[in-house]
Amino acid sequence: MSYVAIKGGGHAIAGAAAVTEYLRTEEGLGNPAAEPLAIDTILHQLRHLVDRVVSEGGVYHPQFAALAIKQSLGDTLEAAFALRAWRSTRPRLSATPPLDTSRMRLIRRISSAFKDIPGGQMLGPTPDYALRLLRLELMDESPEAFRAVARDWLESCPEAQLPDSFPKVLDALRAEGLLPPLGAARDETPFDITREPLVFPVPRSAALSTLARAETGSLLAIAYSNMRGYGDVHPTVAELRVGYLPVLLPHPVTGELTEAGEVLMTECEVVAMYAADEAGGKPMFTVGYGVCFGHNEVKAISMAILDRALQKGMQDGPENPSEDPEFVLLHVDGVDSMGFASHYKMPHYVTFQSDLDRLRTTQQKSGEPA
Amino acid sequence: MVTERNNWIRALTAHPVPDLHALAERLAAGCEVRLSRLPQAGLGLLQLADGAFHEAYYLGEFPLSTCSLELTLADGRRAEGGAQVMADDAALARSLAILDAVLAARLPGWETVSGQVQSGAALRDEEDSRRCAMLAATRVDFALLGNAGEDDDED
Amino acid sequence: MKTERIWQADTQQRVFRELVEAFSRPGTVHDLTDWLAGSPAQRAVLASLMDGETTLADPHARLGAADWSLLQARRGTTESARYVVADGRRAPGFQPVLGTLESPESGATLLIEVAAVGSGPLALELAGPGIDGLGIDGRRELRLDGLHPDWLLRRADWSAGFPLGVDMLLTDATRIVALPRTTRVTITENPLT
Repeated sequence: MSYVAIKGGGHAIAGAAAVTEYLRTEEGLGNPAAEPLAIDTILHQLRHLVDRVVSEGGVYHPQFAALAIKQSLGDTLEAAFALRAWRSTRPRLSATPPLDTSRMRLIRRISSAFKDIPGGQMLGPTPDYALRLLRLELMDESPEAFRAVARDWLESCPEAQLPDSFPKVLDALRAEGLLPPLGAARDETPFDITREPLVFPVPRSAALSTLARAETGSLLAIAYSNMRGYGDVHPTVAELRVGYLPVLLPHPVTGELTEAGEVLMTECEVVAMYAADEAGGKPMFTVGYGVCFGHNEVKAISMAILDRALQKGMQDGPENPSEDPEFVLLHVDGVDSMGFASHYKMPHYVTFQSDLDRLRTTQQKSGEPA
Repeated sequence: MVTERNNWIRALTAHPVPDLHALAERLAAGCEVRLSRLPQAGLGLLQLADGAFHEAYYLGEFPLSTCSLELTLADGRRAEGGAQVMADDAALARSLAILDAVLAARLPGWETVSGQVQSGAALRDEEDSRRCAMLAATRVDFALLGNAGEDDDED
Repeated sequence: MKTERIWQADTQQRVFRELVEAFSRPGTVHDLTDWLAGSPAQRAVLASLMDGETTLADPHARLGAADWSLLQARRGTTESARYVVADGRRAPGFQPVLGTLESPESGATLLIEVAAVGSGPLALELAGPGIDGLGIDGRRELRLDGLHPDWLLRRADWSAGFPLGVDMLLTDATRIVALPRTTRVTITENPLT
């Protein structure tokens, strides 16, 4: 495929950038009260948008994700692209040891498998039970009313006494022998998708990393196909957690695990239809796992379903697209897919000219007398 | 409650970055500073164990800045310090490494660093209690359902 | 704060530029004096090239613990490392990585320190890409002092399976010269004979 050199288009391209900036700032025409979007405003008031971009960008930098959203005028695919571009300029310094997500500082924890789970169910900030009615009072929200909301909530909430730990629901099921036992601890280094291309078959760690930074809509669509019958998973959410995970690294002098910072993440564990194990042993539940940066439950649930579907596809051979690792893992990355779709807009003049010539020749020949 | 060394970074980073730079510069002024690991800003890989099979995988990357150094005073006293912080700021890692060294070896000025650690830890505690409040305010009390018929929403 | 100049970004960019020039025009001598501030040229090259994702072997024990900590390179064996730092006055005594047909570029780069680059009793005539058509009669002459004779003998073995092979960067206190595996070397004056 060849692209014609961009000559004569330089002026138009510079103009396009200026026109975009004009639209971004058009609000300021004749409006002395117009303010540019503050990064903090995007971070706090559009937090799920920021979380989506952080997760699809693959690097936990909410501030830069907010900046990417601002400069792309809200285009999540472009914003994730900008974040990935930024990360490609940074050197790799180290990796954490495998961290334990039971150390999450939770803000939400539910199970749809059990009512009573050790530590209890806490809904946290969720719209799950909200009525989907437009809140017209937000059309004209005053700064005073805005500031009062958080202040009032903090004053009204009681001192909390919560359990110190929230054991994983899966651990209880595993202790009862209802889940496959854990394999022997393997010392394998996980697959690093930022360093190696996917060459199938890939290990499960490659699938988990790929799905974790996949585009939310792509994951949802393929997972939905599985849920609706192009698949066999029938899941129940054993546990869904949202919280801040301390990022631990060995201290350079003492070697002790030291907290360098924390990341907000969503983790979902689903339990699916039981199956007898290969050796003809006890039937057990099968398990799927989904996880992502930021608070994004639809993504985590979709990923857990796809993890389970891909496990089944690897074991029994794929019976549906959602069970085929090549189909799923190669088509869910937002930067890859958006980039390919967008490249069709680039000049293909030379290629198309040869298509034209070929078609005209063919038409001519088919018009000739027999 | 004394904050352990492995929580100093969390505590100190509760304060504005310029304050940390100012404090580190002041305390290092009378010392010779030798870098053993250059201050660098880059990325770390976040490795987790999955909940289903406890297999290791990489969730993604995070900004990471690191620095290790050694302070030597005029009287010959030495202290090693190091910092790894989730930030894209090599200078911050350097300042935190200086504060780490001063506090660990109780070099002159260590009481000020200790104060910043305690006040930073208190700020983090407030943040933790706000999160706990979110959980407490939304805790489901199934006891209130009593013996009423079960509402099982199946698809 | 005392930090050698070779750890600063602008110095490393300059050194890297000189490395690119040196490998593009094998046999040309490049003087790094303006940027070294007293550090040896080999050390400046290491500072510019090493990071946490490169592997380095040190068969002649030229680096101390403090150096490894500053360079952040991963310590490798001479059989597997992408870079080897060596004393050119000693015989090589090792077999470096030569690369594979799929990835010939994974052959090792040898950083060899000698007594003098650009002058000395050993005279080499160089030919090949980056040299042919330039210089006098399309050849380039390079003089060296302090390179153990085994290096050129082993180099001939290592590069016999071209494109597999190794690339060499020779340095003295301030100057660098590159001999990539594409360069053909003929000895025209040998102090030992």
